[in-house]
Order: sequence, then C-alpha cells, then structure tokens
Amino acid sequence: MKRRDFLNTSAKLAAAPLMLNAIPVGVFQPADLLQAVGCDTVRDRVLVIIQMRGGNDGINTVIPIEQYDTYSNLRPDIRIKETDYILLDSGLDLPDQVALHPSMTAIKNLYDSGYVNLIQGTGYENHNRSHFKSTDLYLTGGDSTPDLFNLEEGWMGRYLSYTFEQVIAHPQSIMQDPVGLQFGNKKPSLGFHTLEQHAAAISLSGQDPAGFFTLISEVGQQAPVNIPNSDYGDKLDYILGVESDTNTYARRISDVFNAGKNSSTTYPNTYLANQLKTVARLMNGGSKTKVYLVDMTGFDNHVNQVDATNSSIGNHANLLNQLSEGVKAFMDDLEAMGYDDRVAMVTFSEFGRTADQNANNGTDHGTISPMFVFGKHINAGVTGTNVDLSNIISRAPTGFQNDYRSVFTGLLRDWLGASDSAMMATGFLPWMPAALSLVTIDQVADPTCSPLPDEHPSIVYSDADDTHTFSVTIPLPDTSGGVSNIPVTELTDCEYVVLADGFNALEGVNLRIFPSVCVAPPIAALLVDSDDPYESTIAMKGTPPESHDDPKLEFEWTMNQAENFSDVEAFPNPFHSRVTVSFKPEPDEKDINVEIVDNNGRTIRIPIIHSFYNSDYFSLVFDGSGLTPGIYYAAFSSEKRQKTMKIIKQ
Amino acid sequence: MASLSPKTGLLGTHLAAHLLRRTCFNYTKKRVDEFAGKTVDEAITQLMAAPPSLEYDEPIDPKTGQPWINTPEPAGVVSSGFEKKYFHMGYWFNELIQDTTINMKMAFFLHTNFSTSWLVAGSSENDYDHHQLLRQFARGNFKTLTKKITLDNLMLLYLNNNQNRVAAPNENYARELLELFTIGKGPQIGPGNYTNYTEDDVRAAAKVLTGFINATRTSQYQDPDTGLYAGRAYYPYHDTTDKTFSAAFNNGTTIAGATSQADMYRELDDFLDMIFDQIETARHICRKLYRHFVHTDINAEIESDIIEPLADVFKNNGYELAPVLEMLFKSTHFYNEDNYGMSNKIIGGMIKSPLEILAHTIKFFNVQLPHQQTNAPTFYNVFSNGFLRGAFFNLTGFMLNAPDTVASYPAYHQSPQWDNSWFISSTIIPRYKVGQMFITNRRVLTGGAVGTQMDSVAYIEDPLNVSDPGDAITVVDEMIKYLFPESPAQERFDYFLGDIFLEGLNELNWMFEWQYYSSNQNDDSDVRIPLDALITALLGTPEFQLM
Repeated sequence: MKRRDFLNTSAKLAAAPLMLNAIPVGVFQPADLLQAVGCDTVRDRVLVIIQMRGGNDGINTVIPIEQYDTYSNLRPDIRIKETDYILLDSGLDLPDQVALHPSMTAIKNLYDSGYVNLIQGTGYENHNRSHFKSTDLYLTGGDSTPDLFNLEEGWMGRYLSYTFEQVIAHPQSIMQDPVGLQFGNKKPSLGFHTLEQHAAAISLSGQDPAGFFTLISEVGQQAPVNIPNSDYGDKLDYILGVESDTNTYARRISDVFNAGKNSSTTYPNTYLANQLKTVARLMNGGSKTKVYLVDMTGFDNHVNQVDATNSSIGNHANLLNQLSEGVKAFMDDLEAMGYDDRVAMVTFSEFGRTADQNANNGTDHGTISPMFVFGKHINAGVTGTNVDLSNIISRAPTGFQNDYRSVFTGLLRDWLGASDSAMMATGFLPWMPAALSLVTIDQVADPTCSPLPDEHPSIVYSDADDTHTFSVTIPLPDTSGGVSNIPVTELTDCEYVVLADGFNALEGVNLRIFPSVCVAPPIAALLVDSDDPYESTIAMKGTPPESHDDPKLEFEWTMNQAENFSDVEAFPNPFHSRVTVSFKPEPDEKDINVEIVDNNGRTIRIPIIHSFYNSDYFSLVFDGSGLTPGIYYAAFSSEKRQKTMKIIKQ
Repeated sequence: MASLSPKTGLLGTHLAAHLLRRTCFNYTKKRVDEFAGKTVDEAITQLMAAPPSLEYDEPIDPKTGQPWINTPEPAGVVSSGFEKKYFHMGYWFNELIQDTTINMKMAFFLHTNFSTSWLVAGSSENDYDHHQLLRQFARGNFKTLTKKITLDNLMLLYLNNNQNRVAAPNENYARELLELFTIGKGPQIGPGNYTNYTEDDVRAAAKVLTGFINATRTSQYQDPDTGLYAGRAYYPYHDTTDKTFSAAFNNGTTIAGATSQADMYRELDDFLDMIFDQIETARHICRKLYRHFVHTDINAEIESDIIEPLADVFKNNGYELAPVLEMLFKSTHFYNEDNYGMSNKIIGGMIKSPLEILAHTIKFFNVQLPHQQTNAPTFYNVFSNGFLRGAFFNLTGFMLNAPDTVASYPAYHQSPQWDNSWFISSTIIPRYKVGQMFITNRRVLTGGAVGTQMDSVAYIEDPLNVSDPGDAITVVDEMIKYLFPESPAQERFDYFLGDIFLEGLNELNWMFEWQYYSSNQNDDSDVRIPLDALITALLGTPEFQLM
C-alpha cells in the first residue's frame, strides 16, 4: 500500500496522526513501527541532489492559494490562473494549502502516491541575493554569519571524505565506485570540494561513460619525476592527482555503465532526464556511489519567465516540466528495476525570487524558496506553511521556516545513516536538533551501522550434497594483489584456480586457497554472477564442516601481470593512410608474425614502409592508403599467443 | 616581502617565456627569443604598444563569402542570425591569438570582468560591437569603459537593463555592476548589507540606470568616441527622482535625478564617480588583475604589498589601466625575484585555460588556420563551428565569450578551486589530446575533422624554431625548453628523447634519417613519424598544462 493511500485510510479510521517535529508521518503496521532497517539496506542507499541553478521562483512553483488575491496583485501578468493550477492536497489546513504549477502533474501524481515531501520557506538567515555567493553557501553548508561565510570545503565532500576515507581514491572490494559523481555542469562542484589531495567526486560531465576508460587509458604516459618544491610543483601534483583518481575510477565507471541497463521506462529527452537515466543505469550496473549531484539550469528568469499570452507556459513552465517529468521517469525506472527502495532525491536552488513581478514578465532575486524531497520511503506531505506575501521585505516574501541544512541534515542522518561524528565532520552537528524527519519511521537508518561492509568476504553454506558454496568478494584486480580471509573448514589440497574465460573483469587473476586442506577435487565450479562479477561464488566440494565457526583460511589472489598491458597498439587509430602497429614480444618469444586482417579474417597484404625495434618494443608502419574504409585487425601471433587489435581505416 | 619594485636587466629566455605565456595568446619560440634579449622596460613597452590592426576587419558568412556587419550584405541565401553568432565567436578566437601585444589578452581579461554571453543575448552585430569595445579599451581607461559597457547593446540585453524602467525597475544589471564589475561585495555585516554596498543601494542603482535601452543598428546610435553602435538614454523610461545611497558611499551620497534625456548621462557619470571614488573599486579590479595574470592566492602580504599600492596607482591615474599593468609586469614580484615565500610562487604556478592550451599549440607549432575569405567554409563550418565550438571548447568546459554566468568562467571567480577547475576528470581527454588532434586533423570524442593540420617537419625545418634539426637532443631540448615552464629532470628529458622520439635508437639514427630526408625531400615519413610522436607526447603532459 502506498503511503498516501494509507494516510487516507487512517484518516477514515480517525486515527490520530503521529507527529514528529510537527510533521504528520502516518500510522504504520505495528510490526514495522520503529523497527530499524538493516545495515545492508542502509549501505545500498543513494542520495540524488538536484541543483536548480539560477534561483527558482518558488511562488509560481508552489502557489499559496489562500493568499491568491495578494498573489494576483503582486503578479498580475505572470500569476498562474486559478483554472490552471493543480491543488496539491485538499486535506491540509487552508493557510497551508498549496497549488502546484500546471506543468507539474507528474509531481502531483508522485505526491498522491506518497513519494513527495514539500518543504516550505527554506533558506538561511539574512539570505544573500548573489547567485554566486548563495550557491557557494548552499554547497559549503554556510550562511551569512562571518564564521560560515567563506567555507572552503563542500558539505558533501566533508561528509563523504569522513565517512568513506578508506576508499576515496583507493577502491576496494567493499567500495569500488567513486563515492560521489557529478553530472551536467562542467564546473567542478564546490559541494564536493575538500582540501584533501583526492577529490571526493569524479566529474562525468559531457563524457560518454561507456568509453570513458578507453579514452582515459589512452592518454596516459610516463609521469614527471623529481617534482620541484614550488607552486609549479604543487600544480603538477594536483594534475597528477586528478589523473590518478580518474584512472582509478574510469574503468569501473565504464564497466558499470556498460554492464547496466535501464528498464523499458521511457525518459523524456531532456538535460535532467538524461542525467537521471545515467544514474539509474549505473545503479543497475552495480554502482554503489552514494551521492549523485545532477544539474538543472536556466531559472534566472528576469525576463519572460512566462509566455506573454499564457502564463502557464514559457521558460519557467518548461523547466518545472523538465523537473517533474524527469523525476517521475527516474522513479518509474527505479521501481521497475526494484531500486526504488534505495533512492532519495532532494532539490535546492540558491534563492527564491521576488514576491512581485518586474516589468518584463519576470522576477528578480529573492530569498526563501521551497525544496522537494522525493522517494518511496519519504514522509509524504507538506512541511511548514506558505510564505507570507503580505509581509514583504526588499520585495521578497517572508516566512522563512526551515534552514536548508535542517533538510540535508535530516537526509544524511535518517537516510544515509550518518553518525554524530560524521555529522560533526560535515559541520551539521548544530543542525541535528532542527533536522527534519523526512524518512518514514520504519526506514530510519541506524546510525551505528558501519558505512561500509566488513572487509572480509563472507561465507555462505549451502547444504545440498557435499558441496559447500563460498561466496567470496574478489577485490578489483587493478593493483598487484592482495590477501583476504575467509572462514572455512576441513578443506584440503587446494590448488591455483584460474578463473574461467568470459569472466572479463577478472581475466588473468589467479586464486589460491591455503593452507592446503581441501579434499580433491577442490573446486567444483566457479559461478560467475553476471550481474555483479565482483560478487562471484566458488563452489567447493568437501566433507561437510563440523561447525561454522572454525578458523579462517587465507584466500590469496594475484594478477597475471603479463595479461595487463596492451600487447598490441596502433597509432593513429582510426587512421587515414599510415598506421603504426607496436607490440612487446617477450624475451624468448619465437615465430612472431604481424599482419593486417580484414573483418572476415582474411590476411590483407599491404606494404610495410618502416620499422623500429629495440629490446622492449617492435613497431611496424603499414601503408594502408590503398585499403577501403572499414574495420581491420592488427594481428600478432607467436608460438605462445595470439593478440589482435581493432583498427579503423577512415 | 612581496614587492612591486621594478626588475632591471635583460629578461633572458626563462623569464621572457613566462612574460609572454601570461600576457599573450600568441606564444612562439621566435617571440620568446626576441624578448629574451630585451630589458624589462623594452619588453613591456613593446607589449603595451597600441593594438595592431585586426587580421580580418569582420567575420565572413561562408554562405556568401562576404562580411555582413559593417558592409551591406549581398542578396541571396545567407546564414541565420544564430549561425552568424557562431561565426563571430570563431572570428574572435582568431583575432585573440594573432595579437602580438597585450591588447587581446587584456580584452579577454575585461571580458571576464564584464562578462556577457553570445549564447544568451543579442545579435552577431551586438557581439561584434561589444568585443571591439573591449579591444579598444584593452589598456585604456577602465572607468570610461564601465560607462561604455553600461550603454553597450549586448550588455543591455544580457543583463536586462534594456527592460529597466521607472514603472518597474529591473535590478539585474545594477546588482552585477556593483557586485562583479566595479566595487565588489565585502563581508555581509547585516541584513542586506555587504559592507561596500547594501541591497538598498542595488535598488537605488537600478533607478539611476532606468531608461538606458538598446538601439538597433538602423537607428544609427554610434558612439562618437568609439565609432561603435551603442544603446542610448530614453527619458520617458527614466526614474527622475533623486537617488540616495547608503553610508557605504561617503556617508550617504545623493545623486540628483536627471531633468532631461541629455541629463541622464550626467546622472550616470555622477553615479559612476561615486562608485569609482571608493578605493575598494580599484582594489577589487586589481585583485582580479592579479588573479588573472599572476597568482590566484591573495594573502595578507599580497594584499598590503601588491594590491593596495597597485590600487592607489590605479585610482590616482583616474583608472587608466596602462600604469597599473606596467607596474605589475615590470615588478620583481611578477618574475619571482622579490622575497615572497620560500620557493617559486609564480612561474608555472597556474593552469592554462582551454583557450591558452589551444592558442599556444596553434601559434607555437605554426598551425595555419584556413583563410577566412578564400576558404570561409572550412574556417567557419569545420574549424570554428565544428572543432572549436562543437568539440574542443565544449569538451573542456569552456565556451569562448559565453561563460555560464555573469561571474565569468569558474577559474576567474570560483574560490578555492580557481584555475584548478580547468583540469578535472572530464576535461583530461581533450586537453591531453590537443597535439594528436592537430597532427591527425581528427577531433577526439566527437569525430570529424579539425579543419587544419600541424606540419611538424616544416616546423623544425625553420632554423628559428630548431637550430640544428639533425641533432636529436637539440630538437627535443628546443621544444621542451619553451613548452614547459621549468626545465625537467634529466630522467624526464631522457624519456622524451629516448623512449618517445628515438624509441630506443641511437641519436645517430635520427641524424642519418634527417640527412637522408634533407637531401632527397621526397618522402618525409621517417622523420615525420617520430616528430609527430614527440609533439603529441609533449603536449599531452602535466607540464604543458601549466604556465
């Protein structure tokens, strides 16, 4: 049953609504009441932050209908007509009643499903009306007081780098993804900025995630050495840090994106929806990224906020429609894929706009604005009451009720399970008493959960036959090797295990389990989980264990380094006429042959016009000017191995 | 301590390269060598010369092969108004990178101060007039420019002052004029009080600015000082009341309301006098100059030793830019020869903008851009619109003359990242592949041609570029020395020489290849391939990102 239905039902039953911080949260099944959700559930959760750049006009987004006459007088040309707007919730007291902009039908539907909390009158004391300063304040967790006016680090960065310190820039099996990802805006967000060497977030703006790794890996060359102790040296260090962080995550992002897919949900083709669609696909591909920052822009409508002939359409209407339909499609997609339990979304904008319109069918910079929180486990309803259009200061409405940090604090605490110490690191501890309860009470995270799972792979026994199934989480093989412990009993004679072909992500990884206590044959099967190749299972045959709490067994993996480098490289690729094919033979390699092969496997004879050789590298320059455009392969073979590289003639 | 005391003596190669990297988009080895033999005074005098004439007077429409801005457009099929805005962007890019003086770099600086965006407002004619105005005032009077900008059509449209009328003031331009263009925001010391001005001042300023509206070209409002088309005063839209400002302005200044259309210009002058009478205005602009040209970090020492004295010079000279620029670029501080900090704080300590990455690549390796008159489709459609706009600028998070916000590109206003914001995970690929793109004439990521190609062999055949092209060490050394802000460690040099250029072969091998090529001249592939590899590698380094 959806939350909204439940609220209606309970109203019929005349049950007194449960109030938390003055927010009605509905009545729950007794069994669910105050039952904390499991730590695994919390660890899978994601927060999506939608930044509405330019200053959203909250008054035309959420219309205070009891003050409609005042509203009409202030905004004679840009007011939304009573016949056009959408009444949000007839169950609210009249002063709290709001109407949504007519382009927000999808959000109205989400509200009726119990997926929306509208937070009225958000901002901070002495709201700054500069786009730039106020955006900085929202992203850094600051305000107009001197101590908090020039914070240099973003609150998201502070939260993430405290909570996930061990995995930022050092992906491990327990968190292989960047903890923050930024989309849309090519400007790196101050929100994620920290003073640490490693950034808390990777920017994917403007990149196709599918090919991100290929391109990033191509640009790499040897790094400078003996970095001088100067500002020049500091800048080199910064650049090398970005390179390194990007390299660290680029392959993972591409792999996850390529492995993932969206459901059959149709997304509108908009700037916002395309970003949200990518988030859903990354989640489907196995991403555990915690915070996604997505971007909308164009809200600074000083001029022509509405169409001159119809106030329900125009620039602002298009933006709200983009928000509304984008969020709806995203939620539908998540639900279809079974991820709707995992996601909460929140919007913010640097300020609201003036109560009155200006002469250009627009509005100017104001102060407070509403925020929206979306999600399956969000307390549905309206938090707070309308802005006051009869009491105007410097053209902006009054009615500041909810500091924006009380919204973010509530979500970090109750949704992501941030502990008090994490809140202190984030700088939001002072906001804990005021934090809004935005998560339904049966879904409030337990702050004592560790943010990351145990590092040791867990073991799961299945009692069918004599086979014991061990689920092991295998670390990413992009460092040289590692050791994990798994508890196991009574196994003998374990041998090296070379993972099966087709297990692309882990090709070339050797596993060894010791001490040698397995019974032969030790390995029954390697069960590769195609959805998540890093959560694969090794089924082992052996005598059933006498107990499940025996000593741990070491589980070692190494990487076959020889498999790691590109054996064959071609430059330029695609090529027009000449293409240089380079390869690294091993010292004792014999019968080396390099040829160009077409798409049907036929050898193509083309002139070799140049060659280089040294102990490390062998390069052949082919003249491909006579080839017809298309796909070819540079094929390298020896008595030991065969390698090919796709090359494209243009 | 940091010091503005003038540097004496010859510049030498290292400092001449530093000066030219920071002050010109036209960066070449020949120019560095020329400046290396000059004294600082000679170098700055040459740099501060009047702007040389433009390479092309105005952009060309590739559909007609003719200009359209100051020349009557031929009849027939012409490009759309928005396409012409693309063309102007490409046109301006070329003019920026050809200039051998400081003028175009300063015009770009002024654009980052008075930011507008061709993507948001105006016509190609407005774009043209606006950027010509910035060029005319590149080392001129900043205060006069502020007045001209207030009446500039593109700005009037971009920040909506065109709609700012007595019946309903639009405070957009007034706010940014105070916050970004002139006096700047100080600490917030009360509700709506930003030390240097208040929210009430924004509203009063908006009233002063009511009735300054844009004018179409056909209405022929040409500014007699600049010869450029401009907006104008229109009295019926003007708020004629007296405007009183807060205590931030000499304990509350009152500006008398204009009594006629002509008197509106007097009122505007009074208003600008009031703003420019504040030393904070001079300091705000000097901080921007310092961050743009010298270093993003302004601490208490820089504030007192550099910013404050520069600002005094600026204000005492009636806001003429030239004396400030001369003082700054002649100073020991600019060349890291004062006693500021324990280590080198200035040279190489800044990340290049995408514009600088591109300009330095094109100019240094003498890449010939397609001729705008005889080959207009290639220049405007392929190079400018396809490569610049569609690929390189788009992918590097930069659009020339079209920053995302009126605060300009993040590198020039966003603390604490500043120039670091140019180099992030999503911009690595296009920045590192700039050499490859020009060598192969292929755009990375988006596909398609660049529209021009680098000729690496021709480059080293010019003895002013490489003194001894048959000597492998000289080839590598004379590129690295000018492309990297500081000399690399020997190991790093050997990587480019041995692993990249010679691929493990003996230097004699290169000498023989070069001699064979020089005497036969028929097939250059044996020399071109390693040279292309070297240039691709050098341009795809962390070192080349810095200036």
